[in-house]
Amino acid sequence: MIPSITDWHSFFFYLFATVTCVFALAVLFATNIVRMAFYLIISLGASAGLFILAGAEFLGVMQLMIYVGGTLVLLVFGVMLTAQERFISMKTRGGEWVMAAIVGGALLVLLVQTAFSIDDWTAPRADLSAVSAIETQTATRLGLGLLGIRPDQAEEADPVLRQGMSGYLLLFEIVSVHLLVVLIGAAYLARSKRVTSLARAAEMRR
Amino acid sequence: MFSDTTTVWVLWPEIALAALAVWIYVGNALFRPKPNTQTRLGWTTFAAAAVAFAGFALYWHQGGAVWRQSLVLEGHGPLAIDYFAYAMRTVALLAGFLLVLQASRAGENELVSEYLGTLLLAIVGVMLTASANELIFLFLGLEMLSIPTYVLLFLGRRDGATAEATIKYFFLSVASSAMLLYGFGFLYGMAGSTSLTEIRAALETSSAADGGLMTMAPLALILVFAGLGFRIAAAPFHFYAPDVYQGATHANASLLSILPKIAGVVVFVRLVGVTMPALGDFAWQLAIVLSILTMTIGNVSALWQTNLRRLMAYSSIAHSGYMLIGLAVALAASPAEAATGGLSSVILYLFVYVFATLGAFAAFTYLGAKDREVNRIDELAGVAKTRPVAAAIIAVCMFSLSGIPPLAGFWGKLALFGNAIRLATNTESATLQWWFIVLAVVGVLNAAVAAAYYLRIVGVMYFRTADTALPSQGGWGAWSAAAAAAAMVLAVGVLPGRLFDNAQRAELAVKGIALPEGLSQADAPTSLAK
Repeated sequence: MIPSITDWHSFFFYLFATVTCVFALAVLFATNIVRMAFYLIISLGASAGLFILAGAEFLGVMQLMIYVGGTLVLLVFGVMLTAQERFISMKTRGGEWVMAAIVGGALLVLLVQTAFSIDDWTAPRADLSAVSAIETQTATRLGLGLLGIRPDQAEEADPVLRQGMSGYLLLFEIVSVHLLVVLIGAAYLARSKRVTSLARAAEMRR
Repeated sequence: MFSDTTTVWVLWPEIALAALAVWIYVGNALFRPKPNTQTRLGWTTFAAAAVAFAGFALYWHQGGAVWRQSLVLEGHGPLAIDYFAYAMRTVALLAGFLLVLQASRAGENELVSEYLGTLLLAIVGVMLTASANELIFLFLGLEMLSIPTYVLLFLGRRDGATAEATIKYFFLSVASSAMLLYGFGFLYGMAGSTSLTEIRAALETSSAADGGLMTMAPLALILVFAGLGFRIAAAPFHFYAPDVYQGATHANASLLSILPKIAGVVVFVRLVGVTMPALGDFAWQLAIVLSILTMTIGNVSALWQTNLRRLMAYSSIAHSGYMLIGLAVALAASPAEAATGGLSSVILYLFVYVFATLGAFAAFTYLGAKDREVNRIDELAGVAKTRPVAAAIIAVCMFSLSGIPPLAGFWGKLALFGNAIRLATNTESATLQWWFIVLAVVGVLNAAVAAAYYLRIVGVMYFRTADTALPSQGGWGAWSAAAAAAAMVLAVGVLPGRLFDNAQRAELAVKGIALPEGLSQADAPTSLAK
């Protein structure tokens, strides 16, 4: 007895959604930092599955590459290398729970209320076969722009402007300046001890 | 989003400034000069010259064209090339020039090139934010400001309090950027485009009531408010400000109260005030509630502060509250109305606030020394006798911040409150009338409360005698920055017409409205009645 295709879609949706929510709660209630990071990896990985199911492949792949593959692995390594016994477990006090519940609850109410007030999302579409992936608004166009392909500007009539569709070169330049500043800050942090001892030595000589 | 040769051509002041900033980093490493006062002075001069050069580039290169017309080169992809962008870039450069001067002796000799280069890049960040008309570009501009700010805070001083302040600022700033991005994500999802012009068009064609994707617009607005509220230190995202200011040096505290404020207000004006005006009652009600909360919390908390930078932090919070009044006016006015004065009063107030705050902080920097800063208000006792000019500068800035008539701050407050009342009297809607009358009354009451703590500083300086003299080793750079800022405050106070005129032109330009005939000359006389 093999279920039909749509059932598989629902099956994976419920699977990924459950995994995302359960492990998000696990992050919340865990007290060990390393475990928290691991649960977060699973939660974010499952939400990448949700993105792909929703037809936002670019977003899903980015979620896997950037968050699961990059940021969180870095986080786990960072925690493993730096954590000492007294920092490894996090205790949350009662007052912090109350504050977090108020802020998080307000955001949750807002998000749920917004999601349910969009007509298309509350009832299944009657003409499911007529829905095509092209009309959905996903970040795929931005992703293509990243590679230098600009479908969003292809109909530009002005040939001079069309030549300028070089994707996000300027933005990459700006990001590279960001990274320069980050490197300088990191270098300063790493060498700060040496400078202090030099300065102290200079002061003692005086 | 296009980035063609025009984009590069328009951004050339920013590009030049970034290149010169990188040269400061590289040059100091190449020559390896002995870290002493001379090299420090040399690099400060170089950095100030770099900012001045970028200013001339901005003026000669685009100023001529932008000055005369409202809109030039419309529709060029990621950039908003209008008078508003031009004016805000100019303000960023002016403030940046004074910040460089102020830092001439504030930090350590070894790290002067890192400090100055990073400061220049932070200025570039504000300028990029001012020119952005596209979500990705806007966000990168804001980050170009935040990332150098973290480094600058670390470079300021080396002790536990600074490290704690920096870490606190870093984490909260990252969280606020995440909120802002979340909001941007909803905007992109609704409009299917990252261009602000197209987002505005999408928001105008369909409203929230018809159950479409536009239902998400209020959510996006709340998240954008949360992200930007952190930048301008508006309640309820203000709580970091007092601790961070207290832990920072005076030079860094002035940077924190100025550059993020300019960038935040610019984005508020362009993204909230211009791109999302069609959101209905919800938007201006949110702005009013936040405005009342922010100014009341700021002013009331400032009353019992004894630490100077903590007091200035609460003052900075309170001024954000005033600026939100103008935003509320702009959001509440019907979109059909061409210019409401709401946005122009925000722009005017921003200018007035920036220079009064900068002058005060630069004077505090001058009065202190590298290893002995002026921390408590009581330490200012008797400054009027020992350092009369510095005391006069601080007094001018404090009077202006509290809004006492012949100074710039008065005109700023007059424009804000005046526009709120004008909106209340011109509208038929009873709710609108009630809300804006309440807003104006709360604003005026707050201004009265604020006068108490600003005048207390003046009183301490003039009517109390000193136990010990202040070192006053902040350098001539800080002194001249303070004097220039105070001169600006005085000049605007005596002759506010030009500034009113320019602010109104910026508002018209940012809304994409052609200038009326009467405003086409740069030096047209302005009546206050508008």
